[in-house]
Parts: sequence; structure tokens; C-alpha cells
Amino acid sequence: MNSLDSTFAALADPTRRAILMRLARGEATVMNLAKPFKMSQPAISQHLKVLAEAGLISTTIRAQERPRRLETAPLKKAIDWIEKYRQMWEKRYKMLDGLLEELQTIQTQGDQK
Amino acid sequence: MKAEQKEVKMELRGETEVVLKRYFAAPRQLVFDCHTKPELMRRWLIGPEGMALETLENDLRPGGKYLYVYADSKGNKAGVYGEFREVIVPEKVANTENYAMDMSAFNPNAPEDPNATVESRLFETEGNGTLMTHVCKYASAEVRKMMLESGAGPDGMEVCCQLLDKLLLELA
Repeated sequence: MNSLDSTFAALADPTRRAILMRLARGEATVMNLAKPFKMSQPAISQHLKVLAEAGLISTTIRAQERPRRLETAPLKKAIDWIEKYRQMWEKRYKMLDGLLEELQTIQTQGDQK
Repeated sequence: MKAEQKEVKMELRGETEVVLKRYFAAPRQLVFDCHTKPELMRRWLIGPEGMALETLENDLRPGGKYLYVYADSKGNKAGVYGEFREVIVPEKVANTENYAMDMSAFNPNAPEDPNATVESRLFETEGNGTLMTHVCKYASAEVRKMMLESGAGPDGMEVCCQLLDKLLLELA
């Protein structure tokens, strides 16, 4: 899987997005991440594994704790890619705006004659 | 009319749909014509970066076919094609949508993929302008998810945009 695919696959799950939201506020342990969900720790660990493989989180090793933190680089890459596409549609519609204006001007001139 | 109304707005609807809305400061008939008449479509339907619209065929009637082919300077071609399902001038156009990544293998008479996306564009008068609602309906939730995961096809990208918009709003 290329990285863009794995980024979107990771983002396609609401639990994983919720985990990313939580990590956006600061790093957290697996225990803390599991708290808001009615989910077993292995289930959360599975989600963390997907996020880690997509490069969206990293693990800090500190004493007995293994806090996870958000990595924004792959997200940025995905957003850049999407933005390029959205811009294409915006560009098309802006051209259409111009064309519509032109057509209406021609019509108005025709009406006045 | 406020400038922000002219921004493309996207949302997910139900399990299988993606909805895109855009406002235009022109009467409905004109906006409809610009989306359906080849000579007008050519004026604004620019291709992806570095690609130009080469072929534009539109047989605008229920059961009629359409084909748009984009080409780059190296001769690489990509096409969008399908069949019109519903045509109500100047209100609505619904059609199937397929992508041809390899135009040399493209057969316009091949039977249609039962999992083809169905898209519709609805044009409504709003104030002095027109609100366009573009709905892409995928064959199943799985197909929509696949589009999202693979990023294949423009509509899949719209799903991604939606998810990311939401995520970014919450992250901000």
C-alpha cells in the first residue's frame, strides 16, 4: 500500500479519527486513549497499529509508559493532494462564472436592441 | 450575493452518496446549458493539471451516451464516459459515470459495469442565481469506501475532502 492509500484507510474509521483528535491535544498513553471508548485494550491497540503503520502516530518510550503522539506529515501530504483536486474544480467553476457573466452580457445587449 | 456562496461545498449523505453544492450567479437555463452543450462545456471544463479536453460527445437524452477524453502533450489519454438516465431541461441530468484510464482498450459498446457510479445534477433557482446540487451515488457503501481508500476517481477524492475537512475543523 502506498502511503496516501494507508493514510486514507486509516482515516476512514471514526474511532481512529477520534484517537487522532485526542492526540492533537497532546500525547497520551494507550490506557488514556482507550478510556472514551467502550472497547477492549487489544481493540484499541489494533487501531493504534493501523495508525502507526500509516505513519500518523509515533510511540515515545518513557519508563513503563509508551505514550503515542500525532504525526502530521502524512496528513499534510494527503491534504495537499486533495487541495490540488479541489482547486481544479474551483478553477473550472471560476471559468464557468466568467462564461456565465459573458453570456448574460451578450443576452442583455441583445434584449436592448 | 456573497462570495462564500460560490465555494464548492461537499458532504456525505447516507451510506453511499457524496453531495457537492455550488452557487452560480446566472439564471438556471444558462447554467444548465453550460453543463450540457458541448460548445459551452469546452469553455470551462478544463482538465487535470497538464491535460486538455480533446473529445466531448454528448447525446443528451435518456439512453444517450457521452464521452469526454482528456489528453496531455505526451499523448497520454484518460476518459470519462457513461449513459444519460434522466434528462429534464433545464432542471436535472442524471447519468452513469465510468473512468477509462487506458483509452487504447476503451470499447464504447462494452456492457456497462453494474457497479458504475450514478451521478445527478439538479439545478434550482435561488434568488437571482442557480444552486447546483451534484449527487454521486455509489453502488454500495463498500464502493464508496473503496473510492475513498484508493483515491481512484475524482468523486472518491471528494469523500476524502469531506473527511479531512471535518478532521481539520476538529483539529483546528
